[in-house]
Amino acid sequence: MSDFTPFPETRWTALRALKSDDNATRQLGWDVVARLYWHPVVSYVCVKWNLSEHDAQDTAQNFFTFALERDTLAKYEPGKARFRSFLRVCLDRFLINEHHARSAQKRGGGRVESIETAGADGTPLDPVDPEKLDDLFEREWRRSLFEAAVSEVETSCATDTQKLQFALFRRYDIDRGSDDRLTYDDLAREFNLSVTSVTNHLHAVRTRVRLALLEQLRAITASEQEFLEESQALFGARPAQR
Amino acid sequence: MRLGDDALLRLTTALDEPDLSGTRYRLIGPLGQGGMGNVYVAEDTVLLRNVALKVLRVQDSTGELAARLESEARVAAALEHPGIIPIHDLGILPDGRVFYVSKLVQGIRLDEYAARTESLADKLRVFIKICEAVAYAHSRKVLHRDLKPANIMVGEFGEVLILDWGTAREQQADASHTAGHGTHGYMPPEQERGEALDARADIFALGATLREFVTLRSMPKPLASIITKAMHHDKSGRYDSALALSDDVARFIDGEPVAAHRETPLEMLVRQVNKHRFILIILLTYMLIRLIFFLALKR
Repeated sequence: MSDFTPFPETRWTALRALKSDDNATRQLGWDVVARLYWHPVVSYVCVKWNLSEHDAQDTAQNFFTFALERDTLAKYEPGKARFRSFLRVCLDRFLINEHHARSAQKRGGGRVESIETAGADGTPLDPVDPEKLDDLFEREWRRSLFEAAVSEVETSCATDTQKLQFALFRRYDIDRGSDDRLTYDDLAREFNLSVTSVTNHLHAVRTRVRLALLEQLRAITASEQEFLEESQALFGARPAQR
Repeated sequence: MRLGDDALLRLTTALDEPDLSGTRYRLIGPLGQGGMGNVYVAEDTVLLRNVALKVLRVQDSTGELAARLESEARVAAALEHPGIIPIHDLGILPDGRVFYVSKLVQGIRLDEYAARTESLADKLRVFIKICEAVAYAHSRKVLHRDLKPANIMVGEFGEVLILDWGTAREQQADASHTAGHGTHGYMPPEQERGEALDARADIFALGATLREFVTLRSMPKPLASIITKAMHHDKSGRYDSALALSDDVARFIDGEPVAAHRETPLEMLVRQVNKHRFILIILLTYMLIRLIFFLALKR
């Protein structure tokens, strides 16, 4: 069992919390959803609407505010679709309405251009491949999930040993970019440890990050089945090319 | 903290890798993935040999998946037969995931073997070995319930190994274990309906496997009848054992009449001619030579 469970109950999920009558619980659910979907939404808006990151963040902020005020995401029905797909539909509708409102404002209620053919400023926009948009949203969602899990573990590192473990993990798994030459031997020399200690420390942090990640995933899936499917998509060993 | 693409990719792999510290195994690399677990190649550092290590992908909250993986290992471990994958070990990783270790199978999947093999007789001999392994499991009251070419490996010398006993159950098990398991196209109607199963459920899957396995343009009638009988929609119409099925296939290879097909006199004649064609050719050649000599002498 993870030491890093941020929620009051094991079976607590943010999606259930969104439907709660209790304001505090609902707010907790909102915080989780907004935290995990903030970057995916910003990136998606950025690419789909050809906006600068700053404008995309404003739009994302407006979307989350709108969704919170209208309780839009609480209308999600598990079993009909994945929450991620539902959120995308809500976001697309919001973007279209926003665009229509802006266009109407600019043209004094005249003709409205399609969001697919015009940017936020009304300039023609090259249509973006829907598959690329799907991939982008999925990738950013995964990234958010991993980032949240890593941050959670980092925050929880209290002892010197845990801090050392996390420093090793950060050096080897996060900060080295595309450098594939770094070995456990290098790390052992750099941190003045034995290779066995490096191996054990890295495994210890990875196990904690993995558990934190799965807790995050559990919190934003509506059922055990969805959780298992999502975890299969998230992980899943791929055989080496032979 | 923002993660770059490289870090994301590295973490996806690193977090999924089983932590084998404290075990006798050393991870070598991923091999594949099944319905509930990932399979890796690992080195047994005590016996100095490579093994297959199957790890539960994710611990479910009910523990059902862990129980299924344990059951898969225990069921297969109880079946000691050359045609059934040997299990070496069962344990729990530091992160709580169940794993088991089995022989690292060197070979190809049955469907790949079928695609590479031309000789129908060779294919059918391999099929007989599969039937014998299944018959052994049935004799131990174990049903596989998910037999299909993807779950059968063929080795370099034509040896077979049946894998993936994850859905296997004892024959007396109640029907509640049946629902939701198996593969469409290989499972019999009673399994699709979630009813209690007996050995004839696996017979149906063997029939479906044979049908896919032989893939002939023109299927000989007796072989087609064997498949039809094995895959009869009503289980009472199927072979009552895997050995009965393999016996019929063996009779077909030997050119004997098969139980699944009542042949016409013409079919019997063709079969006999086919079976004894070499003797017939020698006999006919001898008679032709005698005739030529006779005609030559008469002149």
